Amino acid sequence: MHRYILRRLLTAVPIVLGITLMTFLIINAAPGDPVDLMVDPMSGATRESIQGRREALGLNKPLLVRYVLWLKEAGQGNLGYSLVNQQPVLSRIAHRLLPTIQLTGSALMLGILVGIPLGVMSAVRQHSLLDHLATLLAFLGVSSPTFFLGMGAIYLFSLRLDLFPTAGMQSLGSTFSLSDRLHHLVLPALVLSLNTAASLMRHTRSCMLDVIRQDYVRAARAKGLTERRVLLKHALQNALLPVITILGLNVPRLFAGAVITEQIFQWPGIGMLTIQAVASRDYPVLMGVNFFTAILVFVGSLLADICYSFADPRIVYR
Amino acid sequence: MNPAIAQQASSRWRVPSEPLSLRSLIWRRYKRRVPALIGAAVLLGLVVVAILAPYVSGGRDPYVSDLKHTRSAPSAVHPLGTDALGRDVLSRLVYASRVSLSVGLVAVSIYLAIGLLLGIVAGYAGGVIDSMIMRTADIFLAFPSLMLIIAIVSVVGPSIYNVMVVLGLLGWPSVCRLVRASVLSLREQEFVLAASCVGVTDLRIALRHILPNVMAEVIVAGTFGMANAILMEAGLSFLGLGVQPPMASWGNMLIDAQSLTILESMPWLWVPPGVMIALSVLSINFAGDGLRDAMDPRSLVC
Repeated sequence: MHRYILRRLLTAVPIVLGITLMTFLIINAAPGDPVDLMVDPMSGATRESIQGRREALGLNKPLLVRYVLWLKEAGQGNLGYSLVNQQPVLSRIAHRLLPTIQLTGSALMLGILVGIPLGVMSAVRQHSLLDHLATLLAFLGVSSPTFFLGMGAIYLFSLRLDLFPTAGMQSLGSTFSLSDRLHHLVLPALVLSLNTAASLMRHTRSCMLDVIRQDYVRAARAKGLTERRVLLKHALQNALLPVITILGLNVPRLFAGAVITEQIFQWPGIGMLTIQAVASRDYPVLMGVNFFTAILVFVGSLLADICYSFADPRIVYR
Repeated sequence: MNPAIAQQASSRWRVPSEPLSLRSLIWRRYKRRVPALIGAAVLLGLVVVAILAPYVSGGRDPYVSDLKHTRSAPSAVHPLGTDALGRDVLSRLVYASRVSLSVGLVAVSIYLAIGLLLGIVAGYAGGVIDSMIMRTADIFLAFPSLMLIIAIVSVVGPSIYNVMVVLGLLGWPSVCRLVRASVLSLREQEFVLAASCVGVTDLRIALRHILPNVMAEVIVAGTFGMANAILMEAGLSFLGLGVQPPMASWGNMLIDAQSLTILESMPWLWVPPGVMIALSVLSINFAGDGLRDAMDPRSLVC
C-alpha cells in the first residue's frame, strides 16, 4: 500500500516537470518579447539600449538556462506579470479562483447526485421505459454543445419564464446575500453539470450491469438479503470503483467546460480570465492559468489514485 | 446426414452455409440495433448534405451580404432568415457542415495515426520507451483540453487548418492508452508466442498480428473522437479562435446569440446551428455506440 503511494509520488515528479516544460515552451513560442512591450515607441530608444535591456533581464541566455530560472521563480509562486496591468499573474488567478471553484464544485456535485442514481436505476430496470428515456437524455446531454444548452437555458428560464437571472454572480450593486448568490448559481451550475451527469449516468449504468451479473450478487440474494441491501452495499460499492476513476479523469473536462459556461453567463472565474487573456494576447496570464489548472488537476488525480488504492485492495501498481 | 434435416436445422438456427467474414458478422449484428441504424442514416445524410451543399442551399451563396436586409426573419427568399451582415442563414448552415465534418475527419485521422503508432510501440517494446511515452501522455492529459487548445491557437493564430492540426496533435494520449492496454494483453496470447517462435520479426508481428486486433477499439475511439472534435471546433469558433468569418461554421454562427436581444427575439439565428451541432454529434454517438456494441463479443444481442 505505502509502496504503491511512494511509487506513484515518484512518477509524479517527472510529470510535473513535464507540465512546467510544456508551459514554458508555449510561453516562449508566443510572438513578442517582454522588452518590446516595455519600450515606448515614441521614446527614441536605440537598438543597443533595447539589446542592453534584454541582456540585463537575462533574455539573451539559452533556452535551457531560462527554463531553469523560470522554474525557480515558479516554484516560489512567481508566475510572471500580466501584460495588461502588470499585476502578478498568481494574484490575478487567485482573485478569480473562488468563483470557478464554486461553479465547478456545484456542477460536479449536481452531476454526481443526478448521474449515479439514474445510472443505478437504469441498470436495475434494464430495457424499461425509464432506462430508454434516461439513456436518450444521457446521449443528448453528452452530445449537445455547452454553449447552445446555456443559451437555450437563458432563453427558456431567464427571458421567457423569468425565473433566474441571465448573467453574473450577484445582482448589481447589492451586498453579499447567500440567497442572491445561489439564485445566480443555479443556471450556470445546471448547464455545466449536464455533461458530467450524462457521462456518469452511462458509465454507472454499464458498470452496474457488469456487476449485477456477477456470482457474488447472486449469492447475496440467495442469502436472503433485501434487494436494497444487495444493490447498495454489495453491487454499487464494487460498481463505483471504475466510476471513480472515470470521474477523476473527467475533472479536467469540467474546467474546460467551465471556460465556455463562464463566457456565456459572464461568471467572473478563471475561464473568463482565459478568454480575456486571449483577447488581449496576455500570454503570461494565459499560460499561468493553464499551468495552475494542470497542477491542480494533476494533484487531484493523484489524490484520487491514492484513495482508489485504499478503496480497492486488489490493484497493484502496473 | 439427411439433407432435409440439415436444411431444417440450419434454417431454425440460422447457421450459414459458408463461413461469415468478420466484417459481415459485425454488419449483421449492427443491423439489429435500431438506434445505431438511425444514427448511421442521419450521419450519412449529413455527409451527403455537406458534399451537395450548393444544391441543398438552393444555389444561394453563403458569403454574399445583403446589407439592406440584415437580421431579417425567415421568408420565401431566405428560408432561415439572414444574419447580422445580411448573409443567408440556411446556406451558411449547410456550408458549415462541410467545415465541421472535415475538421472532425482530419483531426481524428491525425491523432488516431499518432496514438496507434505510439501505443503499439509503448505496449510492444515495454521498458523505458513505454514509461517515457506514458509519462508524456500523462503530461498532455493533465491540461484541460480546451484551455490548452485555446492557448496554443492564440499563439499560432486562429484558422481552420490550425484548429485541425492542434486538435490532431493534442488528442493522441487517450488513444495511445487504449491501444497500449490492448497490446499488453494481446502480447501474451498464444498466437503471438507462436509467431515469434517460428521466427517472425517483432515488426512483422506488430503489423500483421497485433495491429488488426487492435483496430476494432481504435475505430470505435475514432468515432467518438470525431464527435468530440466537432464539439471542440464549434466551441473554438464560438470563442472566436477557430474558423473565422466569412467562412461559416456552426460555432461562429452562434457568436451573435450572446446578445440578449438576439437571443430573445431572433431564434432563427441561433437555434438552427445549435440543433445541427447536437444532431451531428448525437448521430455519431449513436452510430459509434452501436458499432462498439456490435464488435463486443460479450454483448447479448446477436
